[in-house]
Amino acid sequence: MTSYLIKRLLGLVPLLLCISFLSFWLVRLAPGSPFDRERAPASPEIERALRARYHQDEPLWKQYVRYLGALREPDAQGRAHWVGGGLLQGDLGPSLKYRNHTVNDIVAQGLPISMSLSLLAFCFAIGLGVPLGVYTAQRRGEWGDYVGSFFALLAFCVPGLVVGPLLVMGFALRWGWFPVALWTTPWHAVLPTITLGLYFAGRVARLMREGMTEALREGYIVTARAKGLSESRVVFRHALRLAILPVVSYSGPLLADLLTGSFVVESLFRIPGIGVFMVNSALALDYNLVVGLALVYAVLLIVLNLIVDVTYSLLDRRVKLG
Amino acid sequence: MAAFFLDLCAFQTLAVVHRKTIETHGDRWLMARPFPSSGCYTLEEWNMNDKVRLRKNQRHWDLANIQSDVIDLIHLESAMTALNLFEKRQADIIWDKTLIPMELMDVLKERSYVHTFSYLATYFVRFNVTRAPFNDSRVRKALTMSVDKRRIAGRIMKAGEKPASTLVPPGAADYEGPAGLPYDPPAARRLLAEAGYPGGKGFPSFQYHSNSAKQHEQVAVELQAMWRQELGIVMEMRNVEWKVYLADQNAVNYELSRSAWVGDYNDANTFLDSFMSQNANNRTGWKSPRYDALMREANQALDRRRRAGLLQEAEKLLIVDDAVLLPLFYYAGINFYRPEEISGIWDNLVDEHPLYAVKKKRPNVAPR
Repeated sequence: MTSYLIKRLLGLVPLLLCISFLSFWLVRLAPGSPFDRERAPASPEIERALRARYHQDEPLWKQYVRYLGALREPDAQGRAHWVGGGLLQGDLGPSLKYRNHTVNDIVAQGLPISMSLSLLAFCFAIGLGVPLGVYTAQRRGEWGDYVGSFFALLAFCVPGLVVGPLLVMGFALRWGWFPVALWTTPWHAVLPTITLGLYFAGRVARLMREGMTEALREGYIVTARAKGLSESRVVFRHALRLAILPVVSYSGPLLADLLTGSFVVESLFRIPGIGVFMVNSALALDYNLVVGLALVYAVLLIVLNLIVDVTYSLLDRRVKLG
Repeated sequence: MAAFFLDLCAFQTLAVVHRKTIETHGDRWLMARPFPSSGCYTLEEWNMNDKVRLRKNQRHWDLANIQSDVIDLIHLESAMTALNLFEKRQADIIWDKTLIPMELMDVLKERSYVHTFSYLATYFVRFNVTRAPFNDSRVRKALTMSVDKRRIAGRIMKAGEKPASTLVPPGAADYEGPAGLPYDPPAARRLLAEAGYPGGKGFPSFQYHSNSAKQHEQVAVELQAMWRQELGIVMEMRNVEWKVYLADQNAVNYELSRSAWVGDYNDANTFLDSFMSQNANNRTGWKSPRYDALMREANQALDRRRRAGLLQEAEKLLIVDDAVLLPLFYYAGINFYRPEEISGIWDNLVDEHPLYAVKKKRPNVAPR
């Protein structure tokens, strides 16, 4: 297990280098420049100085090596020295749009918020989806199944773009139970969590219903019933362990979707997370921010998938890692 | 001394900053705490995409007249969210024009918290005068004179924008603009025929370049229809992303390009100096030594009336004789605030509102 983990984590390094290089190069293919403004600078020298300040005037390979922090340059005395900083030391560079912030500043400020929102939505999706799935599987073909499955399908079909404004209209504007936007108290988290999590609750419920239906047909369930175990013990003690596996393997992509998909919810509820930067940095051609965020998300996704694999093997002993 | 020197001194490019802090902190000097400020407020907190908190500067020379202790500037991207916060009284003022939901203006216009006023800004179209057939001023005039600007100002814009015939909006200090080109489709058709395209025959189809946004697209559609109907010429739309739009315009890589200019200070110069030959904001390819000379002479003139006359002559050259631009409408300013709750805001042409004067009359319960 440990050697497996080490191997997977070591595999991260070349992968991240690849991602950094690709995004570094791709974002620079987009037409326009990060320094284009509606108002031209007072003189061309100012723009030249700006480019030089952020090393945008250097050849691409040199910029990349500098970004990595692996560049040796002569200093004032003409002695070569390492430029320092750079990706290899975890420094994602300055933001080209918010020039008094570094990419690290922005990530440190926004990522915890986006992660809390995603985690809340994850708990909501699992907390609603799993019981709903179990309930509908147990009552297969009955009214409870139809109503529950219809609800799951509805949640699955209506996007957050629609759910969010409806929730705001009802619960915030009309009845005033929750705030309309911002992110300051736990109350502020309720509507965004539901907006973000509802779709996934629907998916989880459907997966859970399938898994549970399959599991309840297994031989060992028949055995358990034959032993005279109570139905709840059969379902929760024996069937659930197997039935939940599809949900577990889905939870990796689920968390990833929640993290990358929070843009709409963040902008709707004005949550100071990082999702907004994902979109705006690309539009603003903030090269460093685009590459930095791509890397941060890559690390998150890889680590999440690793956690899912480990959980999977813990739940189902037939799965061997390695 | 140019007449607008005092206004220029109040403009942000001449704001006082603390040299030592910048030398110590470099790019991150805005993060220095306590923040060195000579203004009424000091920067207490700045959370990206969240809010900026300003606190009364205890060392300000006019401390007694600063009306509010703390002002929070909330960062927002969505106009709907801004309106929701305002409606629920979690925001007291909406100042940013991009945060006004224009599609609701027909409904909102009647509400007492909506304040619209004349604003020193103009929406216009640039011609690329280096590219045929727009290198012929008769063609540019024909296109200008066949546009019914009332249709655009009245139907698409909702905040009381007025049709524009000049670049400098009315109300600019000590200035009276020239009479612009009139709306006169028959004369426009004659001009187009003189230029060699009677009835639009032989006129190449051309592109109208704009950044993608609903309102700009609506304006483009109107222009397209008017030009087809009045002149029989075909315009295509090219909507691009913001940065691409800027890069194209900077490189004068377009035929017609949507444009706007907001006055930096209350003087005609902030609009007119952009079109001097060497100005990087020109972006039309138009170079006129006579225009440059008029502008320079105007800004050396000590007599205000003489200066106004020279500027007017320059503007006439720009928008009438050479028709380098097609002015469409003068923007209107919009602010949302409830006068019964907020004092110290006075509508003005440059939409500037010194924060020291702004006060919430009755601080309400803290928002949940």
